[in-house]
Amino acid sequence: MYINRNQYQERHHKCHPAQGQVLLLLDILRLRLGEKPLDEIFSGTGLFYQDLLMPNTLISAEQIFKFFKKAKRLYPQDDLPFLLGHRLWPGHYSQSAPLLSFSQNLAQVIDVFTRFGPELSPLLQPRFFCDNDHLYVQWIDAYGMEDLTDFMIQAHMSGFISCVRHLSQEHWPWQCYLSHKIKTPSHANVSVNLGQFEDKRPINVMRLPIAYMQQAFSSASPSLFFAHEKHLTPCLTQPGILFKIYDVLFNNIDKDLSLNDLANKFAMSPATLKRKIKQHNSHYKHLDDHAKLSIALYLFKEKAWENQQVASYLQFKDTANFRRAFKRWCGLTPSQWKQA
Amino acid sequence: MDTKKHAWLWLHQKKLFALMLMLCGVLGINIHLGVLKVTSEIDWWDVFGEGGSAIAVGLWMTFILLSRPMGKVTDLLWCGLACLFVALFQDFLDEFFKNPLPQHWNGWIESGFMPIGIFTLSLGLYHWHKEQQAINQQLKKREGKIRQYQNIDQLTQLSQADYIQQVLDTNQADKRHKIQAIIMLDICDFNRFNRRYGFVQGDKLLQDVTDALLLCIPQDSTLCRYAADRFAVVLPNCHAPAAHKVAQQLREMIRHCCFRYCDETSQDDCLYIDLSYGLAVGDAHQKDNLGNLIDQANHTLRSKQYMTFA
Repeated sequence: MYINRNQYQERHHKCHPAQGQVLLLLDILRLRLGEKPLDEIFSGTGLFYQDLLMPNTLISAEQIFKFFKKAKRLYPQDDLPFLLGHRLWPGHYSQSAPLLSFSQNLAQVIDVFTRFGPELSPLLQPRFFCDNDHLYVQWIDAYGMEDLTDFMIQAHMSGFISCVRHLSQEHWPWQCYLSHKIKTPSHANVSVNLGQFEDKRPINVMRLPIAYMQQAFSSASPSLFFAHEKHLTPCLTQPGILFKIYDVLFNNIDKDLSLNDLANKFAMSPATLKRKIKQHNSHYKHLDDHAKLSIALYLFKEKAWENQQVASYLQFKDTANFRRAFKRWCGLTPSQWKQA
Repeated sequence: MDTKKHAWLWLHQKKLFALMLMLCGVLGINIHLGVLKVTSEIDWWDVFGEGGSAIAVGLWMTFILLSRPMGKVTDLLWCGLACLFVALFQDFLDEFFKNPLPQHWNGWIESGFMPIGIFTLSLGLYHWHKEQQAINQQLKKREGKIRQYQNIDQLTQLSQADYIQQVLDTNQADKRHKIQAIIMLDICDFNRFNRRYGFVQGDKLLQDVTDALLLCIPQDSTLCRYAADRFAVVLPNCHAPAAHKVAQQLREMIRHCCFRYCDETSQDDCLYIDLSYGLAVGDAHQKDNLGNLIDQANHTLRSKQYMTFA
């Protein structure tokens, strides 16, 4: 099975409805900055307000990033990602948004996110994973947004928590692990909006006890859900290329895919794939490491596997090799990490 | 000219006009009575030094007009600086004009304006001190003993999270305060309020709650906005039972407050909200205790068991 060019999007593809996150952030800016003229906000972003209002305008991920960076410069306060996060979902600008509102429980919300992820959360897409004790939500940078990642992680994590809180009408004990460092001034904002969190962790992931998955939402409406789902035509069904690659790597983690194997799956030459990944500010090695690291961390922390078991699961020749690789991924050896 | 941008110029036009007239007068006297120096006679170091001082004083005058509302104190400060400015201007012109006459008219201008300026400026500073005391009284509950304009939150005009630690530290340094308490207050269901009434109304609610809390907190305490809908009250010299009492009072007060969010459709849209609180009490003389006082208060708030950590 090859993955063809219609199954993913690249950062310069104009495929995102303009009404999404850009207009959302614009209104936050206009609320906080007062009467700042629109052309001043949009200057240097290549976007025009009148175009964005048109129903069929599509913009690229790159354009969205440019606008977000501008917004961060115009309103450099710590609470901007959270102001955005709280408005992200259920949201009104995507076709699948009502499905979130009609969901019966978190399990169904996750199902909606899994099926309509590219539309609901195009830039930073969630991957869900459950075991006997916990639900895990890992956030994957789909287009290589570089220095916007911290901002977007905070926005999306707080947004997801806020959306679930809105639906369940309860505070749930989420535990957030952030890969970047939270500076002291923004500590307060992060702790209020995310609850329990730890920064400088190897990956961006959230965790919730599995018991909450089936708790019923009072706003649930199965018939409306069904009726809406039947006539749904999502405007964006393909994830970003990095998410797609990550997906393939993750699902084939026991096969230890090389760059050649991966390129083969994407039906292109290794050189082309390499170039495409580079355009998205990443490397094959980085993506591969990240997928393996995520698995290794999970097996260590949650399953309490031994080094040797993990090493053989991830197709390492021996434990020493695996230890070296692990240290390269997150700066600590497996035993140091387990103690920390 | 953009009238909105340069409104201060029109507001103070009389003063500025008088200054211009004065400077023209000084320049006229110099041209009329003095003799222009030849280039070799000019000491350029003096020109830069004195000219630079005059420009600096001019900048100070501009800042005074830009940053202060009109009034007696502003006038005194500005006039004092204006006299200094004229004196320095004369000093500057001295570098270009010689005085061939026996009268020391240039010295008179300089040493006449200088003491008048210093005196007026001193008077202005004295009144400014008086004025500041009055303003401090007004701001007391917002800023305590420290003023740090970089920390002020634009929405509520309260100080932000990193300020709280400074307040705790200064209270600790003060020998009179043996023990201090911090209360964290959270608006219940603010998330739902935002989603139901919109984020504009959410911002307004934060401002209203700020005003209500400011009214009700004890005289010597300080109110800060920790983050989002969480507020912090620092109570110096306060034991756990007293802090609980304050927290309960604040909660009761907010619960009975009627917040109005009128839209066009409904005439009477009165809304009641509730607060949840967590608090921590720290002995000011145990330093290690102080750093995590904020964390403790947050923790008690999160666990919703309203108990203290001594």
